[in-house]
Amino acid sequence: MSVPICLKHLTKIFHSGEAAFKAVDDINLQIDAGELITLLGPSGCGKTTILRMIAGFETPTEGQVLIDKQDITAVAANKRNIGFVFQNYALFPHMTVFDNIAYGLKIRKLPTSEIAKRVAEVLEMVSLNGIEDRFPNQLSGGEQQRVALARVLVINPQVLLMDEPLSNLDAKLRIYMRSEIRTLQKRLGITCIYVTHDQKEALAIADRIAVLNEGKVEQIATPFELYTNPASLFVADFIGQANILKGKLTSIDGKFAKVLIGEITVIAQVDEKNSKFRVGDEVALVIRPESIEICHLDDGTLKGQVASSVFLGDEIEYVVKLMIGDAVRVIEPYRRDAHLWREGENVGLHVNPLDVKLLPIKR
Amino acid sequence: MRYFSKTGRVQKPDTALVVLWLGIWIFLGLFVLYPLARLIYVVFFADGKLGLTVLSKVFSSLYNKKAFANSLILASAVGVGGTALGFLFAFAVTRIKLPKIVKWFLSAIIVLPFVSPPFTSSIALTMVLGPNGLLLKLLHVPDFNIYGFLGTWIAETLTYFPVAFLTLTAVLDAIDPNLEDAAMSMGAAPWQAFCTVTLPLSIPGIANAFLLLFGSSLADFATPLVMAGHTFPVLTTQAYMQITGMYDMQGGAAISFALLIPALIVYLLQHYWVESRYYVTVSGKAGARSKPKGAGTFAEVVMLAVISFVSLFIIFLYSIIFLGSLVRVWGVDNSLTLENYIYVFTVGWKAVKDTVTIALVSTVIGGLLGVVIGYLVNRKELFGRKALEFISLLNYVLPGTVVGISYAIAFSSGPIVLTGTMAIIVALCVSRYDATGIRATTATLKQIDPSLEEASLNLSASRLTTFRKVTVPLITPAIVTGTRYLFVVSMTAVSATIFLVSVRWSLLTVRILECITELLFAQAAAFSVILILIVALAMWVIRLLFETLYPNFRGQRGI
Repeated sequence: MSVPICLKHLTKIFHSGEAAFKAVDDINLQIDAGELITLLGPSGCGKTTILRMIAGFETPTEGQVLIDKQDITAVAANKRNIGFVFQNYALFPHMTVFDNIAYGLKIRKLPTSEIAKRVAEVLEMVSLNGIEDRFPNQLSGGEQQRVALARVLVINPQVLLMDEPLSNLDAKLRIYMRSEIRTLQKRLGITCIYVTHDQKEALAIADRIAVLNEGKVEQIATPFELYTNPASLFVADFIGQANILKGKLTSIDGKFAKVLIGEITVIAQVDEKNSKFRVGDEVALVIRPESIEICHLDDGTLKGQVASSVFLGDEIEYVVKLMIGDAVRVIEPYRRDAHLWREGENVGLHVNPLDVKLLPIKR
Repeated sequence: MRYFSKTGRVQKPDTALVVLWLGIWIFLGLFVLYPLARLIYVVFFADGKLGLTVLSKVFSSLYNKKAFANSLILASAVGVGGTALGFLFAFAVTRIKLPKIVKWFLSAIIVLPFVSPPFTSSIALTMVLGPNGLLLKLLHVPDFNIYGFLGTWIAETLTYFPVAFLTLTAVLDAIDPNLEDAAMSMGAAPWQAFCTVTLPLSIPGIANAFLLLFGSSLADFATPLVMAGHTFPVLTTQAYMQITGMYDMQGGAAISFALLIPALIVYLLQHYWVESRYYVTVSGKAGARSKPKGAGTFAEVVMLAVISFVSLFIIFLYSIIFLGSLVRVWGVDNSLTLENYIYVFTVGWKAVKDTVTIALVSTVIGGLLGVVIGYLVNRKELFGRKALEFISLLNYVLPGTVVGISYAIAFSSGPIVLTGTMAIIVALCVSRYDATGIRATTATLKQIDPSLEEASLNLSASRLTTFRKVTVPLITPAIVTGTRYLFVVSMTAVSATIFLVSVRWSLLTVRILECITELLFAQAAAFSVILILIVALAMWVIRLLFETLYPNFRGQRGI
């Protein structure tokens, strides 16, 4: 049974002495039943605070939290039936794995036989059998993570909230666990909000990603949409790598616009939703490193000099210093017949106008 | 003599270091081991024969048997009461959302008993609830008797509960609030989360606090001397009476020796049982920490009510001390006067001067010794360092009465006679109270990587320069803690020093006691106020001194 979550005008202001800090600023989010949504952003962007307000650990300054269309803003944390996985797992150090997992069931005063049955089931689910009698400090990081997950899944929560659950694991385990979590979430069909600051993790796991900055949602979209069509410079810069060139808008013609950078005119694609541009505006152009092609000096619209060239095996990363002053990053895949450009060589750059995104400098 | 570095290479012995090391051994041998040996000899050798005759003779007296039982009963009651009160205060400070000013206020109240002479709560309690007591008059209860178990218990609980508070605050602070959040998100009500998570995780801390208070009450001398009266004898006061009243040094030594058994059990329990019970918290980045949430509104209100009552009572007692020092005869003639302060600065001036001199000398010597012992024991591979660490803490662990009597026995006859000198009191203060400095230095050094010192040596600074320029600044907080403690307890100590005072060297605490026995409560109060002021001033000066010397030093919280 999956339920939707809805956040309405959610706001949190922290006071420390005289100073007030707006950690979460008028957030509106609609999360569908069974969806996994990621809250992604740099540290201090308010993502954990949002999660803690949904769980009931923090009280919103303003706004509402609706789960299954019920307003639960005033409901105490222990009456919400929400599963929360903590960054440091928060396993009870004085209880065995069994007692940790059985905790929520004991609180609900289930019969002992039922508790034993359900703990065994959930341990099977996270592939952790035979460690029921161990204490948390006798487990590896990956095992602790699974116990934390099992402990919340056993109470059949309506909603699963995860606060950077993989950040204490090593890189390999992290990749393995994130696909485990995703598989489990899909199988159970449980609505899940997943907080992370790791964009790769967010892209890999989420149905949709909400990018947060300074307490506000910058963009909410599928991973594909987010990467290919960022709504703001912050998103473009935060997700993947982006070259950002600034210039002046000289003309708009339907889906395409001309932008003057120095003395060179570059053609860019205009998003129909973002048609508030006027000729004469200062604008930014976003170009992904992999959509630039290096060519001979005379063949490119932009011209420059190779400042550095780094061979990374599967690809080669160049930094090209443009004549107009900016430096751009270019990534070319390595093939046997690929031309390798030397440092110091004068080159031209070719970009398809469909790969150049026009964005306003300030929202 | 050669010694080995950690890597096993033979290093050239440092002559100065070896001389220092031997000097410390001689000091400890003379002022820790020798008096203790003399005490044991006196207790177990009656007329030159080994036996239990002295002990059995002393404890054949019903009164002394009763004192032994009373000591244990009182210590248990103070342990339970003080720990409960300490837990309440600690829980309020760490878990309940309180305005900053209230928290500051609570920690100020907690510090008061630390800087006061041990009689303070007893004097105030007597002035309030004793004969002619203020509250008794107000409430029209003419025949109430505060003396005995009740008064001693209240006074000791108020004096020692801050120790439990400090221990338990550290324990509660270390419990990850996410654990309580986790419990609640799984359906536990606040009281259930408290009972299943917070309380079980604090059990080792509670046990530790109980044992600390049990030990403190067992060794307490000042409070029962004033409050216990004839109906409620305890071991410490009995030992004192035996010596000063009946001139029976051997009997007094035997009674104080009986204190050692429970004190030793408490010490062993603390170090080998409680310390192994602390839960290993699972490591990892903690993430966001929860705000204090309290324990449910009703429980919170009850808790805050108890805390407010106790805090107000403590403030009331201290105001009474201050007020009492300004009236002619407490309870009889309440007209305001400065007479009592004039008394302190004329008749009592010698005691003030002597006490400050002794405390200053002890602080300088003991502060230095504490750092040097702590440093040598932790950073140098010298012979017998484990043994030395143990011996250096021995006088601190033993009840003051035992140490005082052992000094009185050891230095009144035999090869070294120090009775009546300042040296004997200073030696006692140094050997007994440098322990905090040693412990703080040890704790700090354990957190400082030796590579910092190695880096200095590598940059061709000498060992002494390295110690002075690198080690000392790093352990400055430990030094401040150690010296402040030394000065405070040298000023306020009485249980051991009372056996060592003489006509030539008197102490403020002993003068206060004399005033109390002569029922001069106003003068006793004036002495107490002056003592508290001197201690507060000294704490401030020591802090200022180190802040000027090492500007990077950030003061630590509390005492």
